[in-house]
Amino acid sequence: MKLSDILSEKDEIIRDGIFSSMGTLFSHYPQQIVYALRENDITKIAGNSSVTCVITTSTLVSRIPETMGIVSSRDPRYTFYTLQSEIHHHPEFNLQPFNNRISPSAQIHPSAIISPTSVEIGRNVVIEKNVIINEQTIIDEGSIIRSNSTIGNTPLLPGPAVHYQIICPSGGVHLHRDVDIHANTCIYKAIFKGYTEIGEQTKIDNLNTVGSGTTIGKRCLFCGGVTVGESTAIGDNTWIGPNATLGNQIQVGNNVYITIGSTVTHDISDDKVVKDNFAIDRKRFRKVIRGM
Amino acid sequence: MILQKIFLKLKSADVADSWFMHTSVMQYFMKACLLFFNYAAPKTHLCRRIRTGSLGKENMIHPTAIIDYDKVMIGDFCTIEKNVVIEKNSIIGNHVVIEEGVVIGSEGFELRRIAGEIIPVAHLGGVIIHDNVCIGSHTCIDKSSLGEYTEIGESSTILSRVQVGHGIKIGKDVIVSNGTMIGGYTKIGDRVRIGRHCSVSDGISLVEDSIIPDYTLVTHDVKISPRDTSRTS
Repeated sequence: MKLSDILSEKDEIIRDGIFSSMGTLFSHYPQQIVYALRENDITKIAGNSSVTCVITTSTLVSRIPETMGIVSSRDPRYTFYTLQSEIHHHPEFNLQPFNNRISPSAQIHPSAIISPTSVEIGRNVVIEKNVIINEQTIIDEGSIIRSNSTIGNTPLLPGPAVHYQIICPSGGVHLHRDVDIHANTCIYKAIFKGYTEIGEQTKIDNLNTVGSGTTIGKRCLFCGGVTVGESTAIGDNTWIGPNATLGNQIQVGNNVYITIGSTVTHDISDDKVVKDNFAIDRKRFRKVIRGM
Repeated sequence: MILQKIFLKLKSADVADSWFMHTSVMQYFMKACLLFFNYAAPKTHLCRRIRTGSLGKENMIHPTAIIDYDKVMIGDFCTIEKNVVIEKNSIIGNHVVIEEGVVIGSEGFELRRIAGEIIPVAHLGGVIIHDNVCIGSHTCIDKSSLGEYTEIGESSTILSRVQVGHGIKIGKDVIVSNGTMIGGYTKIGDRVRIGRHCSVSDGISLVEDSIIPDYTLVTHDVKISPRDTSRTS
């Protein structure tokens, strides 16, 4: 789709470009359009090869690479989300609805509320009391969802949303094989075309919140009260302690060990331990613990 | 009892970190033992704690509350609000208030990483809530893993969005404020006050009368009581 086909005359198109999906600076959808607010964002755009169009302010226009289409706007984020709400019905930008596919071997409690369309539930899935499952949710075989949890919440706009419209999410939630989700947990659906993914054999304890567009790897353990922000990527075999908080748009590697009550605001490479707000080597951490 | 002692010994950090437990033969042996335990234990008498449920008089129970009446004992003068879920093997005393969205007696979060897989441990215990306890909305209280009970003592108050893990023993007159997470097998003494959004680690004990302020991480035992005047000199 071309920029000039959709955008109104109010927004100034400096260079025309083609895009086929919407995304954030950290996502890797093919031919995606993003918005940039600060100078930091320009370096991230240069590092992300799948960006083809950028919505930005007039001061940053000259610094964007020449191959990309550019739209200049007074408020890039507002333009981006109005564009999203206009084209979210288009089949290229939205997951298409389908008839429910619920396996007869799934055990679903009668008090659970399941959306009448676009839900797929695999073999031997257990869904307990008062669970709410919204549209565009795929649950693979062997998963367990415990009481009072909600899968596929509608995400709220990040940041102040005083004069913005309510956004229309076009993604969904995908729980892989043998995922275990305990009581009172919320999992938000993705804003753009794609899924909030939780890998196989991952176990999530009570009172967790998983933000929209987050991908969690295989065999992770999340203790109680963990909050994960939006568009975060978490690797395999990660352990996250009680009351930890992970910010938006962070990449966490494999075999990472995030201790109790930590706050993570930066990227973390493989085999690290996060203590409070710092990452140290996992072998060194064992020596620290034994020295106590 | 002997099985329980062996289980607790295997759980300790010295044994779990030793090279012997990390040999592949031992890992597959442990995996086979755990899978057999998870398969066989729910069918034995260990799991059937409460044979017949009971319901006292003058209780106010909202119709949307989901209670397993056959295997739950509830005392007199209790208030149970909307969307409360009470699973089997729970014992609730007199004059207990349970607010909206509380889940009592769900599965605990105890798992083993053995031979590259994650295997959950079957939880066979239950939950005891003594008299005059108040539980705030959206709190989760898990059941204990072995044949024990998660206990909440008399006249304790637990506010909203608190996680009480498996096997916890909470004493009398305790106050736990909103957003606090308490790990498994922790023992909390009488008259302890825990502030908002604290994180208490698993397997530790807090002595009676101790006060923990807001946003605190507790990772070691609290041994000295503030009322113990012999040590303050």
